[in-house]
Amino acid sequence: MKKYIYLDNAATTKASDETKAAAELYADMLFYNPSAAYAPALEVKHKLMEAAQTIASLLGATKEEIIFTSCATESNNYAFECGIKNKKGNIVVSATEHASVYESALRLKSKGYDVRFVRPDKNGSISPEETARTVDENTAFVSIIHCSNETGAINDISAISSAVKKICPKAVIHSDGVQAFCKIPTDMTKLGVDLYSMSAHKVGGLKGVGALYVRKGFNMQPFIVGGGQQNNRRSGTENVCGIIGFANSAKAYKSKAAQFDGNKFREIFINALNGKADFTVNGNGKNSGYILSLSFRNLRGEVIAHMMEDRGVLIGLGSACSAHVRTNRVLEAMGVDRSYAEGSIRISFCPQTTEEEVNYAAKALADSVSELKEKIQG
Amino acid sequence: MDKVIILRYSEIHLKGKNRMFFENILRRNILEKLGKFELKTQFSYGRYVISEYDPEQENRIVSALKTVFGLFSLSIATKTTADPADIAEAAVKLCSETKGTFRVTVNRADKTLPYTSVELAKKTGGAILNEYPDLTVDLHDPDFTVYIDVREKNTSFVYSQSIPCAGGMPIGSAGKGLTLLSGGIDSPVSTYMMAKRGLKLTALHFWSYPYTSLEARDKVLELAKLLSVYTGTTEVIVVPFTKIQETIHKYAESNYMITLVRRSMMRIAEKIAEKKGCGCIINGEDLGQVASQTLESITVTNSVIRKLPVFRPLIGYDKIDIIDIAQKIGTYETSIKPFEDCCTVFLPDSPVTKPTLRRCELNESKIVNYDELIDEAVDNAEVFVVTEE
Repeated sequence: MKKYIYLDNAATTKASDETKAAAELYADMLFYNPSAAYAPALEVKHKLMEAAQTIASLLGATKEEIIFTSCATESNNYAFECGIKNKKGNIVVSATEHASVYESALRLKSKGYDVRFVRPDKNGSISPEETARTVDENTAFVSIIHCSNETGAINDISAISSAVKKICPKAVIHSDGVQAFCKIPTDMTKLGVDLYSMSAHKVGGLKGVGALYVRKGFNMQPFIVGGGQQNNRRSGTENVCGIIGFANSAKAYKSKAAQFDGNKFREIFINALNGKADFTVNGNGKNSGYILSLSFRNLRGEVIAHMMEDRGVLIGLGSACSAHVRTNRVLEAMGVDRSYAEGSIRISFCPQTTEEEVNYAAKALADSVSELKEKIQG
Repeated sequence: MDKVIILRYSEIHLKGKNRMFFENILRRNILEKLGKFELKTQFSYGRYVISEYDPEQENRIVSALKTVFGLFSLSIATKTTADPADIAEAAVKLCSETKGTFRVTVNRADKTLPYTSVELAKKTGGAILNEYPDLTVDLHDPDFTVYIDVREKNTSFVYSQSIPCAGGMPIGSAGKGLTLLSGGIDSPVSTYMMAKRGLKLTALHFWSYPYTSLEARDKVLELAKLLSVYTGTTEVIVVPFTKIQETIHKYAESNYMITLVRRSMMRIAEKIAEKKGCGCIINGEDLGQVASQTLESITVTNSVIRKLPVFRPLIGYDKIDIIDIAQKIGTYETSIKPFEDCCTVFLPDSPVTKPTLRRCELNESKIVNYDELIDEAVDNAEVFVVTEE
């Protein structure tokens, strides 16, 4: 199989050694159902509790505050289905949310809820001021993404929470933390949220595992009912391999992330393109450094991505969940002109990404764009 | 009494001395389609019978037979003796869930039997009325008809319903054709329609990677697979088309882009058709649907074809009717998947709707090594074989 430089880590990451080791151990030696009554099963149950503790410690939370799910989409849906207490209140979400939050909000709208969208600034960030202008004393639920999956733009969730609570102290606050968890500070005691979603496969875990932080004291009814696993908050036999791999992998990822400077890599790309292409950098304010969103004028992102693949580099087009939709909802909300938006690509890193890979990929991108420009524009 | 499936063929019975040619192909196609089932087939003049099959497989067998071109209809029948008592017993069973009016229609091939068709119909009708007194007879406009087909060798078939099949002519009976498959809604329908007229088809797709995706190619292979339920195992030839499009884009007037691209497609199609022994080219053009399907556009694209006929089975259809057929044959949902085909690459803002041959040729004369580019595309075509699952 052809070897590629992989720069689509916001879509998914390669499974870490910790994940592979957990998968092997808990699929083979310790394959027991954690709900069974015999000693080896109890051992598995203890390991699951340890995993919850590991995730909790990465969030400044307690293990009782962690619920494992099948993915972050489930976590986000769970938050919207069971996290809204005041059924007559309005719902506030940002216009830059991942599809799983955006579609959940639209579903509520179709049910008659008053759903309001907070507009981002030109850098794709949601400001506390703009959020404060959108909420009122009757706001029931606020969901603002922590780090944009499209642009890497970081939202100051702590300041947003404070601004919301000042106007509506009872509003439930949720944040989609999929692209933030393990990459930027995610201390729940400081963020001031009630609910926070995470995904395993963005930090070296397996696909099919997610988690939802539920603040202690917040009454969260189950979304999935059945055998009463996870203290009756999320039924279904736990994905033991995935959960333990997730916890171990997240811990390792966070320690590597501490030494990682993605903004340096972003600069390499931007420098390689400067003067060679007509492009904009989306999310150029406060950025996680893990994502670089670029839009090229009058070119097509899909074609650039194919040309990069031919040069041995895999990149994304934006949210993998909506890669086939030509218009980009998030970039449109940011005010990116359509002549640029169609030519958008998303490059995303992980702590294992090397400078050598980035140098090669940046040159490949500059070459691809020049070649395409010549062919298309003549 | 056994359950059997009676098959009837369509217009083959209109054939004269060459009827056996069509029948042989139809039989071969039926046997190929039913290859995965354990059953017995009996082919006799004008009527084929499937017997000794697993009753649990009946629905699957019927579904498979409904996709065989050349079959007009089928009936699930009870096979019994020519004894009127046995026939009545089968007929009574058949009426267990009926209401309203009925009639009995008898066809008696064996004229040596000691009863006439009318006598048998009366006797059987009487037995049905005895068992179900709520039913009444209506010979002119019955709700339900019991058919009795008395054959030779003390055999008769009793059935009530005719299930329509695909009709048309057996695949292969009309020769071979090359069908252009783009990935849109129309071309799978035109492919289906010409397969229905008995053509064994090879599909041709123009692929413009990196301007279109791998998924666009997979979509076409998926469409070919869906169609293979009707067309049988099909070769899909994927022609690398990027270089030609880039070259035309570079040298030609932009409003002539689509016209010139389609002319080059037809040139390639004719070369591949000849290579593959196909006697015609089929496309999904529909008069006036888009700029490239005006009378003038079709004239200039057709003019590059030297020998073969080009069939356009959808030429007089409304789009809504094409969509209707696409939904019936199960290709619509795949066709509307959002992967662009090569036609959308380098799309000009205002494509010419009335191109002239002179301007086309003038534009093409600016392209250096045009013929070599065409030959290169033909030589580098990839072949995929898709079969029904």
